[in-house]
Amino acid sequence: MTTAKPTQTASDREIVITRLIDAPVARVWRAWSDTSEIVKWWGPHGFSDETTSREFKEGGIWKHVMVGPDGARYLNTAKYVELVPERKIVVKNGGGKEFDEKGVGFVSTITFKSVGNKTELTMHLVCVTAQMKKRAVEEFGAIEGGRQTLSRLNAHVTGQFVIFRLVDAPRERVWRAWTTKEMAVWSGPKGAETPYSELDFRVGGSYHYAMKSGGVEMWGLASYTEIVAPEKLVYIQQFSDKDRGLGVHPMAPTWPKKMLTTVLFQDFGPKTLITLYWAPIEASAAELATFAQGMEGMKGGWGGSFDRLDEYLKEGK
Amino acid sequence: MVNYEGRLDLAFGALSHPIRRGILARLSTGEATIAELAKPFKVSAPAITKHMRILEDAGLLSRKKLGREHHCRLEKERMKEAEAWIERHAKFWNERLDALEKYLKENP
Repeated sequence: MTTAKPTQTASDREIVITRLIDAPVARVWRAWSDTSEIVKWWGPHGFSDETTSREFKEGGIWKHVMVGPDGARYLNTAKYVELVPERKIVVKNGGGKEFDEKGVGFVSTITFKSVGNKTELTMHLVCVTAQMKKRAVEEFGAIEGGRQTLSRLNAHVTGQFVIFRLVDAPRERVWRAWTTKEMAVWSGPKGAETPYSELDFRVGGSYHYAMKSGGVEMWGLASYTEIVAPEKLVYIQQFSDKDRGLGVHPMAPTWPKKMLTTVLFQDFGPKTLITLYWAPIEASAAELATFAQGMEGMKGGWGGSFDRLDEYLKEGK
Repeated sequence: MVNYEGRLDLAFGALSHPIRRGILARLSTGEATIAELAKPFKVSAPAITKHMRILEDAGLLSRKKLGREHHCRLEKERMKEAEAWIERHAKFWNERLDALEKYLKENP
């Protein structure tokens, strides 16, 4: 998130989105070439991807459904025209169930450029007609959606945790709940009390609080680094004590001590889409490993196995 | 004796492979022989043995020899430990967001 500097240039049929991805080219290429990886980050905020089939080779077809935050399903098909490993992908994009040359709406060229240990990624979209570009930008928010997709890619390759939630309340209301002392009411574990809280809501200010749950008292400190009302909030969250010191996770001592939390609020009709990025900062190797393994568990689709394990374990034998 | 952190590391390493998760899912329904465990996977017997050894090293699986057959079972305590750790963190944000939604509904 911190290295993001998306830029764009425009002609009447083109959209260009550039972003520096905080990982080497080989890693970024793998996120694109490996189908089990691309489905984890493809699409704007709040979207998930259901891939039916994908052949990542020249002439290969990708059939997938992009599912929106409200469950709306968008059929997509794409054909890979040119693939140069770790350098370039050219792909024709269309809608519908089967790929059809006549249905191609735009052609994208994705280029990978190594910049030190990072990758400069450029998505260059050329629409078939100027009208189509206008529609893509105005109706579908293609530029913002493209930026969000690359932001998710960056989070994916840097091992961040990302979660989306569509909330049935206007954006201003959600913002207020997240940026005033109202936080004390909902942000703790169930049944927790907040015997102490002090909020100084400004960049450089902080939220310092104590939470009591099941007889255990825990202190936390959130330091605000960026505030753009009512759309973006960035803060560093840490375990703390009553003197604002740096604490550790009471249950997992190698859990990262400091987490960078980025919360984005976006209108979605009368509702609000919340996107939350969670990344360890200034973390030791052991802390990064702990976080990365936790992430694997969260994202790895353990669902099926664990549901059954759950039942089994609940029998308590 | 490996400490709590070390045990978690081993357990998560062991759980990072789909075949090993599959083996554990099968064992969660009861004990099984090596042949029974290998059946659903299109891999060789030595490959299955390798996966089983990793699960054994992590303490997630144990086996005993009964006649000519090895019987494998899930080590539930170790599994619970790993599972509890993941759940704490995976649930963290979902619970916070559930609470936020509830709060907003009650306080529009």
